Amino acid sequence: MHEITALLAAFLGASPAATAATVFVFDIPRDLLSLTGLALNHRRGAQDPASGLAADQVTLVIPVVNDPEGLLVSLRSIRGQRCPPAQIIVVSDGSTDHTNAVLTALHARGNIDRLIINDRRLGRGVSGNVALHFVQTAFVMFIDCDTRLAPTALAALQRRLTERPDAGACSGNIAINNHRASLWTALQQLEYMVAIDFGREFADDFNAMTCCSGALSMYRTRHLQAIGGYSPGSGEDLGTTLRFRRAGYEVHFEADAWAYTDAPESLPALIRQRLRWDRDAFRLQILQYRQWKKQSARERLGNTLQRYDYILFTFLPTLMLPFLVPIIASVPTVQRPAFLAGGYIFLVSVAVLTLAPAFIAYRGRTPFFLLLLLPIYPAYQGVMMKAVRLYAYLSEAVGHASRGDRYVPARIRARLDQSDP
Amino acid sequence: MPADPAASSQKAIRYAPVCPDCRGQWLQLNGSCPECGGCVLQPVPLAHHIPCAGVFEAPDGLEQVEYCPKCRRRDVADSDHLEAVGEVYHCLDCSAHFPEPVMRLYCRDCDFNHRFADVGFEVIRASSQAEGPVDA
Repeated sequence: MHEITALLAAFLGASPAATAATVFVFDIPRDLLSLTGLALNHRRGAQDPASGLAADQVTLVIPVVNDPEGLLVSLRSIRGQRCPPAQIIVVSDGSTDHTNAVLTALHARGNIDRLIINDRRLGRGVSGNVALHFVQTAFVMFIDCDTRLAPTALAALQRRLTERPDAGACSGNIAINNHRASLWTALQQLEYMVAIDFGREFADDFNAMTCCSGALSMYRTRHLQAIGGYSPGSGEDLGTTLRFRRAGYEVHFEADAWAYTDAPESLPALIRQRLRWDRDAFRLQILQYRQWKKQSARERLGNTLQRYDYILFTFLPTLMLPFLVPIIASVPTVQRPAFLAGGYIFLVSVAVLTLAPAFIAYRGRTPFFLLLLLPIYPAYQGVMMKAVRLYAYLSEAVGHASRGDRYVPARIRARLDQSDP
Repeated sequence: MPADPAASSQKAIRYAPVCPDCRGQWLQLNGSCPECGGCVLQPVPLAHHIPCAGVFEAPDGLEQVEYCPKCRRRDVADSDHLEAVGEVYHCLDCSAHFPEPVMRLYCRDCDFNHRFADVGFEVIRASSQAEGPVDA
């Protein structure tokens, strides 16, 4: 115990600049803010979200590419909804395997109300926009084809939008379905607990939600139609949410609307996914929407907070990561090992401080074995994922790496490049 | 219907749809509106403006599109940034629009569109004694 205290003292006392930089780069201010939000927040969940809701108000849209098994899981969870959707539209976006045959059979059996088959792949956003053309209900909900919904997910989202007439969109809570599959999925579950269940709810308290996730979001149909539907290219969910905000609509987060989704199980797959997400975030928030600039003289407080949330707590700490090396090098050589060890102990302590209350207050299934991962969580979240994010930013800034992303069909990508060099 | 003793020596060679109302056999496939059952349908191309992901109807064809209703760009019709992404059908009776018409069987005798589930099918069999097709 005495040694740990000594190491912490070495970290906190060696160099004020190095200590401050470490605290900033490793997201400690943001995590502590989320923790404050958790303490202040009155967690809901007692009321039945389905009671008293108007029926037949929601159309559910599911874009699918070559994944009939995932779709069957989704449809099973949709059948179990306390407040079922009025209509289910499935868009097969250029599927090349037996997906179309399965969908045709499901359509004939009445499991799908409307089936749209794109002969050529158009991408997720455009497929959503094609489906949006046929939506006639007040609300439209989009999920991924492998998303499994909790029985009250649809009702909880509908209730939130019904209670907030100014709200244009509402995103739901997401947990990892396969969190026991590997070390990486377990770490992602920890990350989702902090970033989504607490991070987004904290942002929602200040009306500063950044992204309505493509895996689970509901929109007021006329508002989504008014802004022309989803944005082009990859990161269509983030781009659409930012356009929603700029159009003056409120964007919310409903923590009681749960969906379970499969996460990448291997490290290469996880890195590929994060590179795509981080490039999209950088391209949209920095290059396209220039989030460091005020949008207008009458910018709403929520939009200001949303911009600074990304700039201060995601973008700048990532850019500062390489500067940690010379800052740490400035620590006298004899004190450096103790400084590094003390720093890591400090980060683990903060992770425990942040995540332990999160475990207690978490509304999803709480797998307590994840607590065993707390000692490596700072290395995963603060070093590895931050390095991936930094690489994503640099590759996007220098080489427009997102142009090679296969998430968007090559034919569409080429035209997007022509129109926006 | 009493069993035909010769049926075992016959094999089914086709099915003839029979109108459930008038028993007529002159039925043909017809697309109809899923909302009202009307058969006066107008196909309308659905256009996709690639740079903004706008999807909209182009009733006069893609060549006649004056501007993209989402991003308001005007130089879209003669560019390769506009593509067809399918068709929608407008029902001229009830104004509904839908991605695909429901296929029904139209009876020319009683001038009515019948759902597949309502239509009966008679089996046309071929006799093994080379007497030609007979009704079962």
